[in-house]
Amino acid sequence: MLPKIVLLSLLLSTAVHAHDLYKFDQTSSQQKFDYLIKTTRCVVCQNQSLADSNAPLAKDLRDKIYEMVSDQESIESIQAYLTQRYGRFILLKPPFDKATFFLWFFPLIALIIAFGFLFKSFCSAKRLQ
Amino acid sequence: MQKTKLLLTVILLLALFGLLYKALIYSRPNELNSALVGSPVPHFDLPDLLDPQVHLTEQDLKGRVVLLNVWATWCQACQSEHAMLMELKEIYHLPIYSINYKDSPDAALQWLANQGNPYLLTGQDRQGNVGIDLGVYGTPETFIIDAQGNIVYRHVGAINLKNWQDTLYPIIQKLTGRV
Repeated sequence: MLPKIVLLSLLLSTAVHAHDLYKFDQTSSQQKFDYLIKTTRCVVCQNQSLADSNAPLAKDLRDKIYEMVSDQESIESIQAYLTQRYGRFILLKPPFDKATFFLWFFPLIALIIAFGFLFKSFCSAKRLQ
Repeated sequence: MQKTKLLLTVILLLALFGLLYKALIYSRPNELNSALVGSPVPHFDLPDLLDPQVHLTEQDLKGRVVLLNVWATWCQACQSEHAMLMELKEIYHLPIYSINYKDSPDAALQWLANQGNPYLLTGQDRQGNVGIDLGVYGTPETFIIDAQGNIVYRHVGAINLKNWQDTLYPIIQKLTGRV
């Protein structure tokens, strides 16, 4: 049992420290890079971020982002580069705009409708009394 | 009144189930759409596999409808696709270019020597940079490129007889006007 735990912790530690391989002169660049790799999807493993994934394509994308951050490109332009090539799906958190309006507001709309029904049934229950 | 309410509920539920069923059966979560479709092939410049003095660039793809195939010898599906690509070259006389993606040149040369070379030129993308620029996330991938050098369609996965006849060839026929 123990060797398994040791092995697992070794595996986890390599995954967590993957981003330490990328060195920046400025902390702002480091923060930018960390933010980007945490919010970009590893497209071949779908529900992992680039920071979490050991897939070869994730590594290539990390390298690409590192290069772009080092070139002082903004977060927006890097995200635009990625979505143009891999689609909006590559962003782990969908941006708020016309296409995703319904996605973001649906819970609120559903809640309002539910309250409407609740209110209506309360009223009719009162009338019956 | 009660009856119409019940009917309405049943219809709504059925519609919901229909929607969920459709999403479950027909959605293809592995397929990513590329915004590059409809725009020009990004600039690239790669040495040819057979003759590194010669370079494959996006300019080579212009002038007629061509296929750009991204492949590697380590890719299983590329193996099954290769015979189909040979057929496209020999029967359909289509100009096919390729990018050999993150591969060893020796293995790639061996592969073409053994199984035939369906490609006019093969750019070596050893680091995978051009692959990222094209939005490649799995091999094989094939782009249909029109005479102006715009990406018209991206096919992810191996080309086989079925998707060739159902999807790819009709697009090419439409572009070239051949029947």
